[in-house]
Amino acid sequence: MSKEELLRIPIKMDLEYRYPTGKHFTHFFRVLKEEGKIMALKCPKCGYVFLPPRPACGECHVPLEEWVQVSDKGTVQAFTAIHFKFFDANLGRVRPVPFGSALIRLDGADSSLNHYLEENDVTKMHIGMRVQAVFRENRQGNIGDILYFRTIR
Amino acid sequence: MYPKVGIIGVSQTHFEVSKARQTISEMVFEIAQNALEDAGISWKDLDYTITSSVDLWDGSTASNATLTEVVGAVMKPEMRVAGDGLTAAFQGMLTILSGAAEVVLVISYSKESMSSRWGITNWVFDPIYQQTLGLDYLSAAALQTWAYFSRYGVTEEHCARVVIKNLTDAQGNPFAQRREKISIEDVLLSEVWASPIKALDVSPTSDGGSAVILASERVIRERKVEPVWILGAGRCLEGHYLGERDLTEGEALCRAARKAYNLAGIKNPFKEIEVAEISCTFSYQELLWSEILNFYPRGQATQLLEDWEAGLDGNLSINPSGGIMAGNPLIPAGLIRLVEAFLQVKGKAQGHQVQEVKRALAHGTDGPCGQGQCVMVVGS
Amino acid sequence: MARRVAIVGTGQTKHRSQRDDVNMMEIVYEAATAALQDAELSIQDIDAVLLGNMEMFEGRALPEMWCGEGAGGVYKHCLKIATGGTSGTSVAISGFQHAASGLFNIVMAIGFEKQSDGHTAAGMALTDPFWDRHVAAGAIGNFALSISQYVAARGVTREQAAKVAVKARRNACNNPYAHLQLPHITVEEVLSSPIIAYPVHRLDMCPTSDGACAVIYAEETRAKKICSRPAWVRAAVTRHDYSYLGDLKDRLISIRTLRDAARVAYAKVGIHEPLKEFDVAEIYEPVSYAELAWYEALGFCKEGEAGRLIDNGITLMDGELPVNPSGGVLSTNPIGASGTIRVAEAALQIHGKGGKRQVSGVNMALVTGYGVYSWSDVMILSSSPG
Repeated sequence: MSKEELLRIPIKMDLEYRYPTGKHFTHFFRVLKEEGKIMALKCPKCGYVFLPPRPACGECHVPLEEWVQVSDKGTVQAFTAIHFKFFDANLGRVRPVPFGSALIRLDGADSSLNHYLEENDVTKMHIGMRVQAVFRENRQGNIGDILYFRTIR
Repeated sequence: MYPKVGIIGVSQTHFEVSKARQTISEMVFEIAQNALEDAGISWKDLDYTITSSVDLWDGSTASNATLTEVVGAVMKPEMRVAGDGLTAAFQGMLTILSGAAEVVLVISYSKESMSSRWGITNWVFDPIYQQTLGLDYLSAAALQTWAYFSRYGVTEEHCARVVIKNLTDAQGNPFAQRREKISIEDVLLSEVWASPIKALDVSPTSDGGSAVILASERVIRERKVEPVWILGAGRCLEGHYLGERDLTEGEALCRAARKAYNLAGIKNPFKEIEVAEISCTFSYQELLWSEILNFYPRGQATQLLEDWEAGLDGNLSINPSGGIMAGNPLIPAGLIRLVEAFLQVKGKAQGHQVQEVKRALAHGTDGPCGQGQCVMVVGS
Repeated sequence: MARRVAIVGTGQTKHRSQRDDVNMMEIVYEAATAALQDAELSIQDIDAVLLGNMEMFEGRALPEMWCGEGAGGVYKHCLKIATGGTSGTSVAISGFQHAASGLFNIVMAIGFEKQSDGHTAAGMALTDPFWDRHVAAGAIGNFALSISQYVAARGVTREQAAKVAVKARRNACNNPYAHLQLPHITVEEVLSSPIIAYPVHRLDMCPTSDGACAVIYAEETRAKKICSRPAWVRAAVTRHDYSYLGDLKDRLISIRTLRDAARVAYAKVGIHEPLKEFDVAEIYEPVSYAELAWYEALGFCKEGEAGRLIDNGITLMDGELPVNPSGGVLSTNPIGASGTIRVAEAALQIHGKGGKRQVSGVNMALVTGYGVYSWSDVMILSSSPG
C-alpha cells in the first residue's frame, strides 16, 4: 500500500476590525494631522513624559491629562537596519529591504518612539545621532503621518 | 472550603453596544480604578493581576501587552487566562491559595463592537471537521436548542418569556445595556437568525468589562473588612465535536456545579442559594443551565418562568440583574455575574436587590454550546 | 495552607519546523502522552489540565476547546493561559499554583504551538494597531534595536554572540527532541549567514517550530510516591513591564523585570552565588546576544563580563554552569511551548533523565521565561523540597 499523502486544509482568515482611538490617541493624531505637532503626556506626579500617550502612568497610577508638545527632533537611542522581508500589516505586503529602524527620544519626551529612519546603512548610524521627523504631505491622522526620521547635522 | 479567599471589591462598566469613545486601555483603566476604590485599596496594595481577554476579540496579538500600566502590572506579576472571566477569578483564587499573592486584581473585558462576534466564534471550531461548515456559536446553539426542545417539550414561547423576564429585571439594573419594554410577540416575530433562535433571543453585542479584587483571609482580617467569601468553585470542559456531545446533558456544567457545591457544602441549591447569576448568551440557556445546575428537575425549568411571572421567585432568584440578555460581552460575562453575585450578598445591588441574600451563585461559560463551564458559590 | 509541589514527569514532542504528520490537537496529545508515560501515570490521575499557547499564530480562538481533548482535558478542570512569549512559563506557573493551592493534587501544564499551521509573520505583525504595527519588524526587529544599545554599552563582539549560537546548536545534538541540530556549526558559519537585522545574523536567531511540551506537578505526598527524585518547585516569580519598546530604557542592559524576578527567587531559596549554586540553567534566549545579557542580569557574572563568560567556556556543557544543555530557544522555538520546555528540561535534569545532555549531579536548576518586550518569569527547581 502506498503511503498516503498528508492533507492540509486551507482556511483564510478574513476579519475586519474597527479600533477605537479613544481620548488620548484622538488628540495626539488630530494635533499631528492638523498642526504637524507631536504631543506627549506628562505625569503630574513623577513628571515622566510619555510617548506614545496612554491613559495612566505605570509607576504612579494616576490618570494622564497634561499634554506637552515635544520636538520633532530627537536622539537615536537604538538603531538597526532590517534585511528580513517582513509582512507589513498596514501596507498589506512585504516591506522593501533593507530599511532603517530606531528608537528615537524626541527632545522633551522621556520614553522613545519606535519609527523608521531614512538612513538604511548602519555604518552611517550611531547611538546619539540627531534626527528629525519628516512628515507626510497630506497628513491623515495616524502614525504614518511621520514618514521617517532623517539624520540631521 | 478552607482556607478561604474573599472578594473585597468589584466594578463593572455601564454596558453599551459600542464604547467608541474609549480605547481598550482607557476602558480597562476605568474598570481597575473603580474596583480598587470599591475595595478601599491602593495600587500599591496589589500583588498580582489576572486578566481575561482573547486576542481574536481584541484584534491584536498578545493584546494584553499594551495594558500593563492600566492593570497595575509594571514590575509586578500578571497572568492572562485567555477565556471566560469567571475562570480568571478561579485562577486568581488559586494564586492566593498557592501563597503567591494576597491581594489580586482580576479583570476581564471585551469590545465586541470592534469586530464580528459570530465571525470570530467560527475560529473556535476545529479546522478539520467543523470550521469549514461555517459553524459559529449561533448555529451551534440552534442545534442545542432543537435538541433541548425535542427532548423536553420546551417551546419558543418559553424562550420568549425568558427574554421578557430578563429585560424587565434589567430595568432595575443601572449598568444594563438593554432595558426596553418588549412583548412576547416582539420576540416571536423577530427575525430568525438560526432556527429556532431569533434576533431577540440573543444577547446583544456589547462593550465593557468588570473586575473583582480578591484577598486572602489574613489580609481580610487585618483590614477588618467584610468580604463576600468564595465558598466553592468548579470548572470543567466537555468534548469539542458537537456530534459527540449530548447537547442536552451538559456534562461539563454538571461536573463544574458538583465540584462547586461539594466545596461549599451545598446539597439542595434551590433552597440553599438565594440568587443565581448565570451566563445565557441565548434565551433557551437560562432554562437548560438552570436544570443542569440542579435548580429544577430536567425539563422543568419552565417553572422558573411561572414563579417569576407570579412574583414568587422568593426561594431562588435567577438573573435579577437581567443577565447577559440585557447585554454583556461574552468573554467577561462570567466575571460580571460574579460581580452581581457579590452585590447581591452585600446588599448593594441598586434597583434590583433581592431580599436577604446569604449565598449566591455565579456562572460563566465559554466555547460552543457551553463546552467550557465555570461555577462559583459565594456567600457572607 | 499552600502545599509543596514537585514536577514528577515531563514530555515533549520531536520539534520540527513543520510537523505535517500531526494536527494541533495531536501534537498536544503527543506531549501529554509522553509526560504521562514519563511519570508512569494515566490520564485518570490528572486533576487539571492547563494549556498555554499564542493563538494568533495559528489564527485560532480558544484553542483549548479543540485541543483540550488531545490534552486529556475533557471532563476535567481545563483552561488556557496566553501571556505572549511567556505563555510557556506562565502556564507552568499556573500549573504550580493549581497544585500548591490544595484544590488539585496532580496537574498537567502543556505549552504548545503549531506555527506552520498559521502565518507567524502575520501573527507577529498584528501588534498594537496604533503605534507598533506601523513599524513592527517582529522579534528580530525589536531585538536588533536593543542589541545596538547593548553592544555599545558592553562592547560584546559578534564573535561572542556567535559562540552562544554555536553552543546552543551543538548542545541540541544531544537532545533528541530539538529542532535545529547542527553538530558542525562554527562561529564563522554563524557570521557568514545573512544579516537579518543588523547586527543579528540568521544563525544568531531562534527558529520557529511546531512542538508541544508537558510537565506534570504533584503535591508533596503524591510526588514522593510517584517520582524517585522529584523536581521541587522552590520559587516562581513573574514581572511585567511597560507597553512599548521605547518605554524600556536600555532594555537588554537593564532588563529590570528579569533582575527583579531573579532577585526575589534567589532570596526565597537562599541563592547568593548563582554561578556556583546552580548546577544547570535553562534560560529563554530568543537571540544569541540576549543570552549574554541574561548572564549579567541573572548574576552569573558582573556587568560587562558576559563576553568573557562565553569566551572562557563557563557555560558550556563541561563548564561550571551549563546553560541550555537542551539547545535552548535558539534551537527549538514553538512559542507557546518554549517556556514550558525550559521548565521540563530543568526538571528532567533533576530527574536524571537527560540522557546525552545530562549534567552530572543536578540539585539546583534555574529556569527563565521571556516574552513580549520585557516580561520575565523565573523559576527555581531543586532536588530538595527545602
